Amino acid sequence: MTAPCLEVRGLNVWLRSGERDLHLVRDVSFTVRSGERFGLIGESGCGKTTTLMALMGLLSDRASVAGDVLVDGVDILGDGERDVRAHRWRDIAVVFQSAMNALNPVQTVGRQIAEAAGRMVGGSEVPVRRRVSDVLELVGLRAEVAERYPHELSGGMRQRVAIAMAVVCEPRVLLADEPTTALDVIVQAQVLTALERACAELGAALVLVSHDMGVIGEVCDRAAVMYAGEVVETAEIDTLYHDPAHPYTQLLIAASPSLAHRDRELVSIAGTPPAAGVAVPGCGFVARCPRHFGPCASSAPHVWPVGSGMQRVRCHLYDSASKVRP
Amino acid sequence: MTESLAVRTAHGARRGDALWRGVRRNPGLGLGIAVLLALGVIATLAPLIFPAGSGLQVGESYAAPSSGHLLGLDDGGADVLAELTWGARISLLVGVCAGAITVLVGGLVGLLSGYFGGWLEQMLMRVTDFFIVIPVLPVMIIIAALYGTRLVNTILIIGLLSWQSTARVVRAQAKSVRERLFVRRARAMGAGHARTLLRHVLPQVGPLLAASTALAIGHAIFFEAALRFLGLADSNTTSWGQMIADAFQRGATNAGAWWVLLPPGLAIGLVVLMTTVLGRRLEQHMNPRLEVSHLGLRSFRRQHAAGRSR
Amino acid sequence: MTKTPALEIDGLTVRYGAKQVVDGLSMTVRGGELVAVVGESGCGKTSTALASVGLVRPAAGTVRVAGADLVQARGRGRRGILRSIQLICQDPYEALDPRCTVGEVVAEPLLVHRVGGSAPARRALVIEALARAGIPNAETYLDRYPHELSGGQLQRVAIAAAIVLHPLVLIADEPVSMLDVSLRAGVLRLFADLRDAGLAILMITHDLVTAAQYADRVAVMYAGRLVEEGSPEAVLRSPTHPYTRALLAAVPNPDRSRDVARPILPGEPPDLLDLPSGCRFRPRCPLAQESCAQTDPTLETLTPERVADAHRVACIRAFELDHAPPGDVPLTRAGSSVEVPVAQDGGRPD
Repeated sequence: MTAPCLEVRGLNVWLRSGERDLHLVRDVSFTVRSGERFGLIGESGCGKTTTLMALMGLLSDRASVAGDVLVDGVDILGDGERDVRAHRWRDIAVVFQSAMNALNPVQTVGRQIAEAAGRMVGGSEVPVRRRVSDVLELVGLRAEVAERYPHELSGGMRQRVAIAMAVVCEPRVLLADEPTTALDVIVQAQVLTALERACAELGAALVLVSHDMGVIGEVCDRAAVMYAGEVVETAEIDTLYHDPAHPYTQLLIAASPSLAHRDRELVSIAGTPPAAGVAVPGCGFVARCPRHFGPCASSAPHVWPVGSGMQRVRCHLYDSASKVRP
Repeated sequence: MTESLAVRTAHGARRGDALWRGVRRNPGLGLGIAVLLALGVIATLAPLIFPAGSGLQVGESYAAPSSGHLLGLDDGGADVLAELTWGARISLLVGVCAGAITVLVGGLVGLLSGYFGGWLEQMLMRVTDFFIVIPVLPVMIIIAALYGTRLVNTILIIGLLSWQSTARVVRAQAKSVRERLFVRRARAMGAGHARTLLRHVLPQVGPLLAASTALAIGHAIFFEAALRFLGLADSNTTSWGQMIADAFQRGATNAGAWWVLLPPGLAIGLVVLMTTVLGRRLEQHMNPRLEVSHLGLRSFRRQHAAGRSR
Repeated sequence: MTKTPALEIDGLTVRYGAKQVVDGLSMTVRGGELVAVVGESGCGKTSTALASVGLVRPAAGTVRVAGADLVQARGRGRRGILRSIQLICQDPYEALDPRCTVGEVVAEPLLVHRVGGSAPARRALVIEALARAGIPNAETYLDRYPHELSGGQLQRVAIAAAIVLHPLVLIADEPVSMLDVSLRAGVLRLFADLRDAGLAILMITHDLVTAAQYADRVAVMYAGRLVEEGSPEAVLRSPTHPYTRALLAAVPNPDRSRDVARPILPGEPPDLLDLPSGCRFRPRCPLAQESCAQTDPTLETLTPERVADAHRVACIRAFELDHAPPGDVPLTRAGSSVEVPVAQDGGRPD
């Protein structure tokens, strides 16, 4: 087993809002090995994007962050803004949801990729240009695309340009925030393939954030499910799909359409998630949970191992001292 | 039932408190409102504060400020403070009336051209362009010279020559609102143009109109002073501009009587400054999008709103 | 089947400038029927929806609601037709006026069409509509503003506003794609219930699997045309048009073997200003042959037994593909065990 490439330990994010602090991300920890593809699943407001922004050091100054983020054992969150900047893009790069907003409309994509590459290759024109066409090739685009402007490209091509920009410095970790949400299934397949190929080529760790169980399931090796700012379950992808432990994961899978189980009636989870960042005494999911019992409303659940593998779940049902067995 | 009550009261309170909360979060807004309101009250109460009226000789020409006359006397021996108070009436009256005309004409032109688009927009915008390129002050001078210097004329001249920029910003806003989904949905529902405009487009343009009104008032007061200074308004009535014009023409500078010149100048400056502050802050307050410096993430804004609304 | 269909679109053509985004589309939705239109963005499905509710003027064709043509109607007649056909938009956050309360939003159609009379009577209708849209304790929502509600609740409010007039037809443009996964099934179930109550529903979506689960009929659009239409069972179990097959193969599938490369359809939809000759899918089609460049295929019925449920496909090789043994067709039928030639540099521009 390779050493962890990205290690997130006890990450917390607060956002100052008026007189209160919203605790948007609570105690999130996970590790991703080199070449591994890790998924972060959750619905809007669950804190998955905030987590990703915190890893990149891109949160607004109204937010405060605590915890450790290590890339190859080096803390990149540690010593203030400047340090984060120095590491960014060589250690850790990101692909955003909307490539149109992430690209400069008045520069050719080639120049923008070269600009990102400049920090690594440096100096002369030719190696940079070669590097640009190499990464475009990697994401399945012809080298001529470098001469085009973002508005001349389709949504899927733009997203692949964004991936090229992210991998041009050969980062150790690639983050992707809902990279295919606005895209159609066929384009989505193209973009996911580009993402996978880029990561495989670099041996980078991939963290894919999505609300779509199907996308995570198809791409990732392992995934964490987030709810109300916390990771509620972490498991290998097959386990997560076929043997989910947390009631939320179970419902989320039952709510996701699937080609293989298309005769199954989809479920919807009653109620709505709690307001983001507002502290509750017990489990954040208790109000919507069909299996809640005694301690759920009053005490916050701990993380428990389930089964023999790597599955971890934050739920009272799996408390080793609990009388209730799932 | 209790929940429904709670929702209601919380809500009612929110609606009423919106302005107050805005003022607390945005002190400039409170300052602008307070200063302009105070000036308005003083102007309205002028007959009670200085019942003798304006222009009354109470001492010798250009007497320096004293405990009896805090701002001294002018060339005719009238109390400058009394003149200033009475002058506020005319200045503010012209400002408010001309500002209203500006916003009415500009708002209407902007709203109609932005909402309907097409040939109507083309036509109205060419008219607007025409008014933008004509040099306003010379035209004001010519019209004032042609049609006389009555107060109503002054108001009309200023109002009808200042609406161009309002029309342009309102048009831009109306154009973008027209494309918004809830407006299109209203149309799809079968709602007529009048209803769509009044119910959905106007409220969205409202903040901009409010801000434009504040700016237009300051603008009008300034132009009124300019016309007075050039002698193109009724010099028998007292306004701040008239005070400055009189002081200039009757040798206040030679007499070293700064107390005659400075107060009306500062008053005009103050009003223009306050209307500008008010206009900007009003726009900020009524259009919260301008003040949110979020992460550029829609979901973040939503979480934020969700957290706040509870 | 002699009853007039609730919605009858015939030869609908929509142009934006020189771009013909919808090209002679015909479709029928009867009362109590839910038809899903599936396709990529830019295929013309949203323009079809907008033209159906009169927001976009079609260049040609008719849109008949219970027999009355919306395209030709003017004035009061048009308003009467618009009363019977209501639109539900994709983004519930944008579709509701942020300055109107829930009560005002739902009451607006009543005011527009002068229905309901007195304020208390209107209030009762509004509460009834909200309840039908699945909002419990509707009274407590009347004075709330959109920003106080969640996406799922907002979409239900939008649906309440659409059904408060008891229309015949609902046009729903991607009604759940902006909602959280955990809330989608509830809203889709609501559409199914409204369908069961007799409404004709045309649902635009890009999610073929979900569409199939709730729809009575599925229509697949490509570059402004219908390429395949049929019962969900027929379209999903035996997709015939190569584009439908590609769509199905691209649906994410967690059980897909990691050793087999993901099947991807290369290229982009055609430029509407520079369409290929013959079949519009030809440049991307793995089965294209020479004759495809000569003939522009029209929808042909594969199963003529029952006209309403007919499985129709616009492909000159449709019969051959429909009858061919599965092994002979490069793109396999169902999604889960696909073995498709992998386009290595997928998505290159033409």
